[in-house]
Amino acid sequence: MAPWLVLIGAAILPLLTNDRYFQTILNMVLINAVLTLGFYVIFGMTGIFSVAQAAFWGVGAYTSAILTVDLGLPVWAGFLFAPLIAVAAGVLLGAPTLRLKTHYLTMATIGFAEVARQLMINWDSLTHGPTGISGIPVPHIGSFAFDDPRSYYYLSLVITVAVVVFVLHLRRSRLGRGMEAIRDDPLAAEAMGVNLPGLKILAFAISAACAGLAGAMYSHLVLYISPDLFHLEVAVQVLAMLLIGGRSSVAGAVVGAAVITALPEVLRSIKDWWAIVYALAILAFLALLPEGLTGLARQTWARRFPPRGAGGGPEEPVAPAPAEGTA
Amino acid sequence: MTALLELKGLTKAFGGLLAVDDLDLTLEAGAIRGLIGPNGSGKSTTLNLISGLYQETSGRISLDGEDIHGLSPSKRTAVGLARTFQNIRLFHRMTVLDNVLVARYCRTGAGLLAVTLRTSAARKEEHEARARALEVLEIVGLRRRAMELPGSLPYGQQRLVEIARALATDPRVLLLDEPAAGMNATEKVELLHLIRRLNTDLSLSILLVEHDMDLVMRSCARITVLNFGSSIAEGTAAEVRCHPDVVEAYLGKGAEAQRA
Repeated sequence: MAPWLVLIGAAILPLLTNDRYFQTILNMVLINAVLTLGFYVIFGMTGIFSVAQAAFWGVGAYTSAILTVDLGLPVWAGFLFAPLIAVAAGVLLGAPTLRLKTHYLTMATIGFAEVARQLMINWDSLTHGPTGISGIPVPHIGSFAFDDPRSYYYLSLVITVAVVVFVLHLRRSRLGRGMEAIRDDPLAAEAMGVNLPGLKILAFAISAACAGLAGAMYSHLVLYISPDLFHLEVAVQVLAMLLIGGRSSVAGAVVGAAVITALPEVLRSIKDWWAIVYALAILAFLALLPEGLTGLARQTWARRFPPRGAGGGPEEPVAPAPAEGTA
Repeated sequence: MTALLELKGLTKAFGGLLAVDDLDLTLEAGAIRGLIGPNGSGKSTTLNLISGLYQETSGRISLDGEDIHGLSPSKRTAVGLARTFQNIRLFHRMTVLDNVLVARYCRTGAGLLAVTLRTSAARKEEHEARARALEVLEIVGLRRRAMELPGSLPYGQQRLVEIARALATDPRVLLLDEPAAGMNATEKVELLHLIRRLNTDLSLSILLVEHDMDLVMRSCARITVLNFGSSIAEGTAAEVRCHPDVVEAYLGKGAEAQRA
């Protein structure tokens, strides 16, 4: 029920105003949601703090731009190859770093992200260097062009819903549970028969695929990309989105993306102070609400409508999953 | 009886320290074998060698006649070795049911595509995994707590979740690492009954590492005693109890004389 209401709300939102800027922000919410869902898989589920999300995002954006601008391929080919090339980059990062743990692995992802950015800046013949790529085409279906942010939003919405459903299915599967087991205790997970290297690489690949897709979504919306978009700062932003939304749920990734994307627009007047507000918010959430906004909502809900027989837990475990809000 | 799990000349050196020194041990099919010894005698190291968390320095471990040297821990689980941990290692942010479901990983095979599309085969497999997980929780008596987080259970019950999780891998050999640690007297009696049931009803062969003498003496037909990484005695409970080396290892030299 609730997911359908959210979906209907999301479908109505861009109709409320003709303000193109507002509609572009709505698109950015969805793009960031897809990006953050990828980070949820690698960090929220598998427990790997990867900073490479910004790089994969860039790889996707550049793949789609290069294929459509320089090679003249149709935009849909860009949408297809952006996640695929990003997955290749993800495996390239995941496979050789399998033996690294915790912050050592994070360091490796930082290195990877920086190398990717330097390539974007310096590999002129491929990436057009620091000037970036302009004149990126918009997608078409027949004669219909997704050339304004409102129609593009519905394309973004379809992609986002598909990614949300995918991650939800993944999470409630043997693969998703294996990833969560690795997050909680890699040694015990392996001793229980979980394929540790395989699932780690899969998690990198999925997070990269999501970021790559988000990159293509961005390219064909904004129609111009340059290397300074794919700064390490993006990775921090994605982290903030997941932590503030709630690191333990799919809904958290989406809520966090919405809040962090929309907030700077709402708080325009304190623009100079934004970075400080941002940092304080992350600290506050870590200290006071480690399960983020969705965790808070879940708690409030449980307090107001306590489950029957509260305290002892459900008599018969018929529920398929612990309560989880879905986007 | 045939040997199911066999250790031959098993040795593990940490630098200059021989944690396990030329150990021979046989677990017959259908048996419960106790492995006891003072602190630091190499019991846990032996278990870690069997489950593949440590690489042996030399020696041989075979399961049902097959050498399992070089198999990763997860592969060893797949061929039928399951274990619990002395210091509880449950997945603390997952429900009790999910903890047990993780252990079905090696008995299920749905790939990414099947999982994404929720194919009928994947749904069926998931359904069966769930049924099996609830079944093993029923065996240890924790089905009612399936939807709770392990941290909300008392210590003794967390140990039972560990056993349920190991059972869910469909093992042939169950390695229990001090399952009674932290349990009260009532829980220990229930644990004893559980171990016997696992042995008779599920025909599991069990290697029991335990500090609680009473539990070992009452559940194991044969017992191996370790000291400084080597086996110093082997036999029935009555035999090892009176073995002079065992008494010395536990109580110190001269204890026998004082007792006499």
